[in-house]
Amino acid sequence: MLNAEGFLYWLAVTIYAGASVAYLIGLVFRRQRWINFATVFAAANLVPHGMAILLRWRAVGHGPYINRYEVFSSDVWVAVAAFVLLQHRFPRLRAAGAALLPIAFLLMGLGALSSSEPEPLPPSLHSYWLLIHIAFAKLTFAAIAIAYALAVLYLWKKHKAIANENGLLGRLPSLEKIDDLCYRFLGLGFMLLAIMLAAGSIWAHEAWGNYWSWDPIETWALITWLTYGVYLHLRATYAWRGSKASWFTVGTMAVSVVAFFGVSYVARSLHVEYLVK
Amino acid sequence: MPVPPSIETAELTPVVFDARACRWRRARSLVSRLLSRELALFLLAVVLSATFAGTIVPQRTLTPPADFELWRRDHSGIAMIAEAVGLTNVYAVWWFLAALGLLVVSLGLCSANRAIFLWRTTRRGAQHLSFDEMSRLEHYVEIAPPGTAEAVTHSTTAALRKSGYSCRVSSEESGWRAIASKNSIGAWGSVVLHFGLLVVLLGGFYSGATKAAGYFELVEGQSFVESHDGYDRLNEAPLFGERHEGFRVRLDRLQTEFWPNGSLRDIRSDVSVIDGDKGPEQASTWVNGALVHRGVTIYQSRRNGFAAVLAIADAAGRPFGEGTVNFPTPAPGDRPAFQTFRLPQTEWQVLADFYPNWGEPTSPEDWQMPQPPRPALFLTVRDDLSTVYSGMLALGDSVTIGHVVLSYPETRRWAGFPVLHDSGIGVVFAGFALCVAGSALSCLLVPRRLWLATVRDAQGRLTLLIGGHSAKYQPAFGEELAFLVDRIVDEVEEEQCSTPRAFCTGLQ
Repeated sequence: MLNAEGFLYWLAVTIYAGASVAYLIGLVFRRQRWINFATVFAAANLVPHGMAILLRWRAVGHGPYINRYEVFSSDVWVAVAAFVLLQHRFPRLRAAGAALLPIAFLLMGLGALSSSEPEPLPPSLHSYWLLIHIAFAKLTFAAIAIAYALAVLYLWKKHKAIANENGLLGRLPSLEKIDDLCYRFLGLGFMLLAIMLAAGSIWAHEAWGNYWSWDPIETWALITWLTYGVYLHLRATYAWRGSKASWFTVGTMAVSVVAFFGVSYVARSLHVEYLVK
Repeated sequence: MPVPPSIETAELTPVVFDARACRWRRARSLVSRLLSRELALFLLAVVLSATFAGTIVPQRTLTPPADFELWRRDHSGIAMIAEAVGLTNVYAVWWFLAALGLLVVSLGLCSANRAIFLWRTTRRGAQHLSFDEMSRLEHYVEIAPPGTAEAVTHSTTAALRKSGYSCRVSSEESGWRAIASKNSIGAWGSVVLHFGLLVVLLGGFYSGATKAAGYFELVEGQSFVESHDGYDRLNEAPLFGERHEGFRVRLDRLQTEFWPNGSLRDIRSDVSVIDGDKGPEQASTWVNGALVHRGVTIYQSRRNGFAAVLAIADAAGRPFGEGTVNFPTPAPGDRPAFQTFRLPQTEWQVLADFYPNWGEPTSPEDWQMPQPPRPALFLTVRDDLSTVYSGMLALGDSVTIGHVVLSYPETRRWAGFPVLHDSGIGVVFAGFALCVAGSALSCLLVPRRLWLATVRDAQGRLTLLIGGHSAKYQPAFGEELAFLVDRIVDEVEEEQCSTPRAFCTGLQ
């Protein structure tokens, strides 16, 4: 890890940790000021975090998608940036950061524990399809992370709701609106993951002549996509709403985290070849 | 609020196959079952569970044999059950393929059913609703904008068009009525997506039944003939039908580039394709740049290395022949490349270590050169009982081993080439495109419809009734409707050029 890059990375980890604590304090003690403070810091943290990624990019000569350190860092950046845009459009949803920022901090921490030794790009990664595949993978994770954060917010508000609440709970959007937004983001994640799977298959066919090999990470991506599909069917066909749908969303986030980050630790895979040294 | 059954909406379960009309009771029952959601969900659960199990239980085809045997030994009980049920080869076991096949049938019937329903609905067009039906829609509002009926209807139509709706207006004795629709094509998203899945599955089955996948290695200057016997390894699906093309590919030159740490950066083969009477055509293949000739795709593998050309002669010097031994480049480190082979004209097995720079520690650069600096082989020749010979053979030297003379005249380079015949791949990729298009349509274009009507009360005051339905995202549609009401009022104001005194009731 280069000095400037390392400093910026650890600065980002520290600020994510601080923002997570501030969100949780704001949520538990119902202090809107703490939530606003945490949101400002999460948004500002995109700058040092982004600079760390760019410095890394310049140093290794390729994008942030080879080893765990790079993948976790860039995925977190995209997810937090998407959340910052969301809260800009819907300021009353800032409290959802209490669910997202701790995940961001944990992933950054896991990335820091992984080897940051630069990996050269092997021949099979010289492909435009790979760039499409990776870009949509990051966007998918951002969409599902926001859906998860909204689901947690829904469950928290439902659990804590008191009639005529004038404080933090009263400032949140209605439960119906939060539930609807969660549905929209998960639907968006379904579409983005479809593009990711298709681009990955086309790239695999171009590189190795095998568009689908039941590789563990490929298979878990398919499981994740089918899980999103089950959610959409439960919504549309069986009218699942509210708490049931929110708990299911939390479950899909767990499946997504396993698929995007967990399988590489336990399974032998073509993806793992480049993630693990 | 429940949607009245008379309204055509994309969310109602269409029933086009009227099971009662089917003559035979069994066929009726079968069609009903295949169209049922419960069957589709059950099959999806089976496929999901099996897929999940395949990532937990080691798969024979995906796990190195030694690792698989180790797992069997350490988990003998689970392994026995898993093998009996087929979980160690789950993606090819009969019940998984049967579930996929049944899912294809179910998916096909459901997609066709829904497509026919949507087509008929689209052709028929939206129908006007009674005032009572309008009032029972999820979103309903009554507004009493100032102005003449003509101004109100004109402004309403303008506001709807500005909001992206297409309108169908009719004037009746009872008043003005309109149906406004937006994103109607989004209703087809689900059909396109499911049809795309069907195409992917069918393409996958066709591909799996008709493709051939092989592998061959070529030394520079050698040729490969695209025939059943030309491959080092070949796996032909049951319906492949021996569709070999018979052309030749000669490896003219292998080019490699390496990163400073010794790992491969790029690999490219310059080849000549000789097909029938036509002269050689120059071509290249590299990773992500496969060579395609007559439907056969030849890929560039990362496997490459030095090939030792060995000549065998008898004790009198009469040559038996010449051959090459391909040594895979080892991972960076100070160790030789290794290969085993059977020595022709003998019963002996040879274990050979290849040193690119004999006498010096092996460095990554030694493997990267077009020709190794000082190549040499360390040979261990064994029969069934003992070691027959053990010693060095440097480039240009010969060694006598029993009744044969083995010489090492030349070093060349070799590369590996996976090959694929797959006429189903286009179908699979077309299915991907449909899935992506369908999911995009479904996610981004949500069908919305408004029913509008004007009525006059006993005092002659004009009221505009607006009822709306959205296929999904109801709160967002509610906000859009509220915005639309404001827009209509603004349009009426502009039309009237007077202070607005709009009266809005009943926004649900």
